[in-house]
Amino acid sequence: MELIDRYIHEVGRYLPSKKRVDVQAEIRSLIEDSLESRAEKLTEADVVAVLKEFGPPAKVAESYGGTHNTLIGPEYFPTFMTVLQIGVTAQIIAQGVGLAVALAQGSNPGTAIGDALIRFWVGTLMTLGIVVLIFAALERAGVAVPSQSKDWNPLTLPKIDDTEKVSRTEIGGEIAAGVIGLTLLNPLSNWAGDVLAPYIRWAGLLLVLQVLLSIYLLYKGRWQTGTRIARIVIHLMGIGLVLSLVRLGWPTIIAGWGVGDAPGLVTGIQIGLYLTILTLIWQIGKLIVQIVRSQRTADLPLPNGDANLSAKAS
Amino acid sequence: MNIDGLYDKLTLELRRGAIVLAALSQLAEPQYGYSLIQRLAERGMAIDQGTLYPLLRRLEDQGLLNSEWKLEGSRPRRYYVISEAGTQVLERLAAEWRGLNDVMNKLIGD
Repeated sequence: MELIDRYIHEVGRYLPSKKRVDVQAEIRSLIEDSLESRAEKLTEADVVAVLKEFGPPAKVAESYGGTHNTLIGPEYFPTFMTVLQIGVTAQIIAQGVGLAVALAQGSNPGTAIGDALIRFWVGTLMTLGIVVLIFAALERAGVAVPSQSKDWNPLTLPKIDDTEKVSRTEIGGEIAAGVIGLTLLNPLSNWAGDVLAPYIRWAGLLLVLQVLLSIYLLYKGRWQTGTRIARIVIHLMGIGLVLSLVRLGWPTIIAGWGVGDAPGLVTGIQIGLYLTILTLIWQIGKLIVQIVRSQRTADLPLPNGDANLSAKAS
Repeated sequence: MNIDGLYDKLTLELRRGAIVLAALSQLAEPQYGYSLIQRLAERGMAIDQGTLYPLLRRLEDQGLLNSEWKLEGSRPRRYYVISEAGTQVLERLAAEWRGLNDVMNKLIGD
């Protein structure tokens, strides 16, 4: 019965070599028992029917403790996703910096953005490949994940970062930075010259708006869609300001400062400006994601943080 | 998933533990895979070949069964028989089963 041989050979492919011969012999004996009971004179149809009853080779091998068929199992998956997100974020930052440098050095914006996107794509695929390899190796080696094992400790659960809650240190820092920035603007405009003066006034207005919004946030204590939109608007105005700064004739302005012909300084300023734009775009993206998320949870009838139960437990 | 598919899946889960008990209960005398299937079927417990055979293997790995190859005519067959540990586990599982059976009968109403 050539078909049986083919079946048993195929099952063997999925079995660990230690068990292979033994399990194959057993399956053969079981198939023969099964066939024997069917009919005196066996046809191919009988064999097909019996093999179908036994099941597809890979599945049979798996039920006999065959090869481990998961690349990355459920224990590792959450960590895998976190590492992947970090990797992709690192790619975005790296390509963003690269793009800023290319733009500052006067590359054609279309080509520069296209190149950055291609590099981002290639880089992300490579990151994905490396991360998958590392986790597949861990999975294969069977390294235990403490937070997923049986004696996990609920007290070690990570704290939930409440994205709706205003971080007092962060906003406080922003207010301080805004105020320091405002006090510096006046001497800065005297020093920078007439060309830059309107831009500095523009920056002053943005700083005032930013500080006012921050104070309001400190007072409110929680982010809301309105405050997020206000912040997006301030960021957009910031992008407008930085974009117009990019277009200025920096070599002439710098020449006016009396530092001589400084191409390095010009490039440096341009890179800084482009990076500022990319950072602002990133911040706007984050704010939009947070708005969408808060809209999704807004309708749920959940208690607001301090539920009675947790008060009783502590 | 349609209701029939769901029913099949749940039945499978429900039977999974019972099959272990059923197999252990019939292995006081050595049996080979096919003879055990027949024996269980005669007593009203029909089990898939694809389910029972690997199970015997696992129970042996866990030390609940012993096995040996025997040559009958020209045909080698693997015979399984319950081990010392298997007998102890069988007794406890059977007690558990009876308890569960009583409770379930009360819960779903006889």
